[in-house]
Amino acid sequence: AGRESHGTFSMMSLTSLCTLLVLLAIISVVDGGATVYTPTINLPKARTLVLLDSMDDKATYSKFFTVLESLTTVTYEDKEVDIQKYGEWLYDNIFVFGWKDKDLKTNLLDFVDAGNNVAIASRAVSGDLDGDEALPEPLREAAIECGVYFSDTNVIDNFNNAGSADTVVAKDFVTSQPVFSAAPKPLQYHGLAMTLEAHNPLLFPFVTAQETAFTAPLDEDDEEPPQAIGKNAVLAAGLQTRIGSRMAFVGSVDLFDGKNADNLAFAQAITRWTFQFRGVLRYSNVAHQNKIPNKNADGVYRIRDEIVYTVKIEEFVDNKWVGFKANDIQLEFTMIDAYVRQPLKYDTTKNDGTYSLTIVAPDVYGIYKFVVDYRRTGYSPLIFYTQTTVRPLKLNEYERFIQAAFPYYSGVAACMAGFVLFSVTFLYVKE
Amino acid sequence: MTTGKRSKVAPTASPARPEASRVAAAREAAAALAEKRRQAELEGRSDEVFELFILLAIYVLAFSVRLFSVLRFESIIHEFDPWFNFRVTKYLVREGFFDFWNFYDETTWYPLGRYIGGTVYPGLMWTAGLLYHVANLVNLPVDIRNVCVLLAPFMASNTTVAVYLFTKELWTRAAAITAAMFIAMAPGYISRSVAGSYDNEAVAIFAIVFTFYLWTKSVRTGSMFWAAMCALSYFYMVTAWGGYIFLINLIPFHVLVLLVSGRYSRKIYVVYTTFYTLGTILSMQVMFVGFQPVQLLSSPEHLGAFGVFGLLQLVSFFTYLRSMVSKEHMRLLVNAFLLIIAALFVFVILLSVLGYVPALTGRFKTLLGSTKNIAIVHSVSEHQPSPWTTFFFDNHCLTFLAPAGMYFVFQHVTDYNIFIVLYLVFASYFSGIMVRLVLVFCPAACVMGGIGASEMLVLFMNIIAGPSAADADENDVQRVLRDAEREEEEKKQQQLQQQQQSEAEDSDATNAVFGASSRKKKGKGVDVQSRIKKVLAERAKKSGDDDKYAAFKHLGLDGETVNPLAAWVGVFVILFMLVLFVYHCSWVTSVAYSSPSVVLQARQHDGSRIIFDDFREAYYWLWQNTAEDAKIMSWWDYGYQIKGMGNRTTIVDNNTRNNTHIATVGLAMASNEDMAYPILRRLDVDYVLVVFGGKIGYSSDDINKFLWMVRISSGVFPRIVESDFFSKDGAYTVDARASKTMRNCLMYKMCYYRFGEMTTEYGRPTGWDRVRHAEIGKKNIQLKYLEEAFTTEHWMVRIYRVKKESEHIGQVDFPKLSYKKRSSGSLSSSAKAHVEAFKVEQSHKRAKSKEVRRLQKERDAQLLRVYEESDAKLLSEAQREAQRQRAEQAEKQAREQAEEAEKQEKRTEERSKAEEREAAEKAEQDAMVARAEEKATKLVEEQNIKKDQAAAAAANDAEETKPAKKKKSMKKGKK
Repeated sequence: AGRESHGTFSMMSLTSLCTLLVLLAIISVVDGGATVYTPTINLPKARTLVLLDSMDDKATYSKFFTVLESLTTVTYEDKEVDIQKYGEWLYDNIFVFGWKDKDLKTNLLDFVDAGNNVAIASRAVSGDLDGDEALPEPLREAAIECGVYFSDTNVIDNFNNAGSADTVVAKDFVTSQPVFSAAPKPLQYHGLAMTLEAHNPLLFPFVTAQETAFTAPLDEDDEEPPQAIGKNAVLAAGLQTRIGSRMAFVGSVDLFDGKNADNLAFAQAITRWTFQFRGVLRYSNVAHQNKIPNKNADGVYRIRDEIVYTVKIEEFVDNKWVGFKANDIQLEFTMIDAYVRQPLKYDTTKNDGTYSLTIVAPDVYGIYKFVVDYRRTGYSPLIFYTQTTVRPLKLNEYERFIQAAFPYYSGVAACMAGFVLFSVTFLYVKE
Repeated sequence: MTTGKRSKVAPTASPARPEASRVAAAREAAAALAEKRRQAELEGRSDEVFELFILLAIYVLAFSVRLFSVLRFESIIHEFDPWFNFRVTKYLVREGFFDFWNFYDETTWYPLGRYIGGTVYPGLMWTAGLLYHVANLVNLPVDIRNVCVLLAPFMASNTTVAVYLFTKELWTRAAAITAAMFIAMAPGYISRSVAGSYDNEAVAIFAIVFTFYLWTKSVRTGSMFWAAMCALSYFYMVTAWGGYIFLINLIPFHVLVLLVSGRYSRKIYVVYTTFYTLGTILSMQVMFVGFQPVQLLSSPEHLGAFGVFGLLQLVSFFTYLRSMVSKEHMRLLVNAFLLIIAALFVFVILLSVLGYVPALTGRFKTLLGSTKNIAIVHSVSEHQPSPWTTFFFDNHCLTFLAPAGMYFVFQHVTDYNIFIVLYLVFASYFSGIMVRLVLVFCPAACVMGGIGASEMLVLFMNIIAGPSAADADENDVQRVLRDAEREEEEKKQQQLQQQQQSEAEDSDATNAVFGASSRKKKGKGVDVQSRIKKVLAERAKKSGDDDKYAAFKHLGLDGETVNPLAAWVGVFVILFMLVLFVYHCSWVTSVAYSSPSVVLQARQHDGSRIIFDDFREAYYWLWQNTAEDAKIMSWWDYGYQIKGMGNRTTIVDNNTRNNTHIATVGLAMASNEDMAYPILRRLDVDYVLVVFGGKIGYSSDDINKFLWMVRISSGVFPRIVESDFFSKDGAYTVDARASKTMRNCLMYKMCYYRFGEMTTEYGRPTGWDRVRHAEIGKKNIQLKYLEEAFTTEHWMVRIYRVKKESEHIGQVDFPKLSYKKRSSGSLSSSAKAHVEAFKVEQSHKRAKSKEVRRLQKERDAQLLRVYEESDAKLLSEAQREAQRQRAEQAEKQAREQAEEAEKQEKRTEERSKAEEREAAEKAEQDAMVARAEEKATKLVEEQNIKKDQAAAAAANDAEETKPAKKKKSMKKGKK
């Protein structure tokens, strides 16, 4: 019993530690400040829940799952399970894998809101499986909340296909280094298409169908236009939230079946991305000080002071953090509006992801923020700010004598001398 | 009897008597008086000691009457501004004088910050800090809070002394004591100086009165020393309050009045120039004032003082010139000078027309009675015009004792006591415009009332008690002595002038300018002489111990007709009034002016008190539960308190220094949530605080202030329109009639969030607002970007937390869902709502398009019918027209033929002409007929064409509806 309780204790402490880290991460994102930003997921010991339609699928898609298992701890379930216990999330990732005609009570979006990742892969429509069954209602609605609209039918392409019209060839991939390090080979895709809500800036397509593709009509009498046409027919899409959690939507589980190597490579790439193995950035060592050391002991800057700002930005690559090198990370010095907006300079001598920039505080006093707001497709967003104060000059910090005022000084001196002379003359010189 | 004779003899003898002897007589009297006083002291009864004890009693009274609030509640800082002053004073005590001067506060006016050292009148804090340090120096470990709480009563006590000195300077000691008594209790002053009311005015009133005392003293004595002291006191006033503008305009005005009324003397010149130069230099040391006193164009408030300063120089210069140059040259000079003045005047007018002279500042404009709306100035309740009841409420019997005092002052106008008349007149004018300035009026009313009351009492008491009343005697002598001194001075001047005049004869022009004054002085001199005679005579009478009516005679009344009973009645009436005054003052102080307004109290039905401590509850919550750098947004009224009690960063506060920033907050409050959220995020707002009185009936809550927010923000952001917030019938309501804008704005939502679930009054529906007496119009309020964080016990303060962007990542909010959708099972509420809305919209659209198609069809059919009908009508009409014309033509022809026959008979000579005309007419008629026929045929043709077209159009429509629909749905699909 002693051992057990000890074990439980350590487990609990571990989970609470994780939660703490997660919380810290959220706080650090929200507040800025000099705390180390940790990605929302406890890498690489991530826990993944794969919701299978039936356990048979585990064998069918074994190639893919083997890869997944090499990345994370995977739990397979063919029915809905609790993902939260005592207010703590039991998993870091959920993969809803070909969930066919089943209900889902779990609110996946709450899960994502808490900083976790979700992938949803739909089945393709086939003979005995119509659109509603290929992707059940709750999942569709969750997708709609994110601005993803799955089609009710498969996507077909009469020109660019691999044999049959409903196996389309897709080669328009998103150009994002963290998602695909090299350009993937064209896919052979059989499944649903989706359209993306244009107003959601967090969404982006992994791959779209070609110009000649469209979704099939529901039946022969269907006079409605196709639900997705051409490049608007997205085959797989990703969503990158503002706190770093990610979602993936895939129109077909067939991509994961391993029959086609290119498809499998693609599937692995997007899974890696979705479960935050790629494209995750973190920042640390945010610091700013006066360029002249120990100049202002009171911790605030004076107007027109030179301020040196440094930050370390790293990327998670192959299970370790390495310096992230980019030339488009901007630093803003804002008070409501940005007074300074300049790109951060990468410190090539250190070459560990350290950036620095020297700015001149504006001639306007106020409470300023150093803002870094770096959002690039495929990378987790880096949004952090540090508040600082720029105060006016103190009374004894003004220049004593201004060159431009010398005429006035001489005027005053002349006046004083004149007065003394006059007084002396008036009082003592007798005519 | 002998005395009577003497009194009769005196006037006739006086002109013969040399003037010096009269003064000598007054001096004699004074000496006698001093002797008398010495005797009294020796005997153990001294007026001065008695007076001192009265004054001491008044001093204590003034302090203790202001302690109601401490006794009722606790030792707490009141209201709004005092919280700021208190906080800054703490900083001063903690960090020291120099750091205080450099105090830049980054926790208010986020993100602008406030340079407090340079935007504050530091007199109050200096005073409190000094007292604190002095107390600690003598080992009295007083908390700074208690120093601040009790500073106002302490300064009020000092004010009584200042008023005593001031009145003594103006009038008599008796009047001074009375005035001190009045100022100790006058509610108008108490309202701003109860314990805890730690505001600028507490110090400023003392400074005003003390400055005035020194000014009158310096005018009386003509002493440069006193003028310098006055400048110092003025400096204290400038550090204490922005109301110093009143001083720096009133004093020059006094000088101007003296100048115009011919009372100008070198004394005035010495005193004013000393005061102005020193005062101006000193006032510029206050950073908030800075260079304003010399930047005359940008601050016209200071222009008057400078103008008078310049005028004095001119006047003395011309006086000097007149003694130096001849008459002709003087005339030339004066003319040239007038010409220059006129040119300058035109130039200034031109400048102001061209817009180079800036406008007066808002508050000052309002003071001058400008009705132009400056929302932010007008929104302050202190800046409203005062109702007449305020005067009585705040001054009670002083309201009519002051005019009585004015009467007495006019009986003995001197250079210096005309000042109190001016003060009263100006203060009463300004206090009529701004409620807040009743405070400035109060000391003037007290002084005047003191003079009035004491003079009347002395008058009546003299009648009753007889001339043995030493006070009256003494008062008269004091006055005479002063008058005599003055007279002496005048005489000297007259002599000087006469000398000058003898040197250079009076020219007409100079006479116009200065002659009047000298004439007046002469007249005045006679008056003074006669008065001295009279008073001396009265004194003689009094010593005779039998003339009871000396005082009346002194007033010019005939003593024989006065009944002592009338005097008794008079005394009784005045005493009764004074007793009433005391009762009124203590009642008002206890009931109206001793509430801290931070803590509210109400009486229940059974008479027990109930305390509403919601404000402190809320601020304490903020202090304990929010991040240290959390930014709190509220309407500016609560800024100082949030910072003072909750110690959290505020966006705007009671220092209404940036109208745009305040308008931005107003904009957020008046916008709907979607519009407000970006504003809140832009200002980094973490919490929004509103004050809501609907549950307990606290009427000065944010909903009642809301129209001001709307007005202020609409002044900067035109998208806010005040009328949008009114119901259709133009009322400002919160019930079901309230407009959509009103019901959706952030302020309404935050105030009434979940209020619909609550029953506030028995027998009323839920959501009954006890302030507006209405059932709220929207009960199921949903908040999207805000969440309720805290609501106090009586719902008076409600605090909402602003969600961060990262907190609603999932609930991506789209303006529309443009996709075919089915049921909505486990959608989140917002998405559900969207789906529902989408469905409704779709069905609506379908129904609409159906309806449109049906209407189109109907219209087409109808059109066709109408075309047919109208065409048929037109056709028949055209045919009928043609027929009618033909018939007419035939008729005409017949008639014309007949006429022709007649004409032929009668006027054969015109025949050829007529024939020609007829031919023309005929041709025309033929043409008309032809046209009509042509028209008819055309119409027939047109009708046929139209029919064809209509048929074709109908056919087309029928065909086109399908493709159009297809196109539409294609578009839909693409989207």
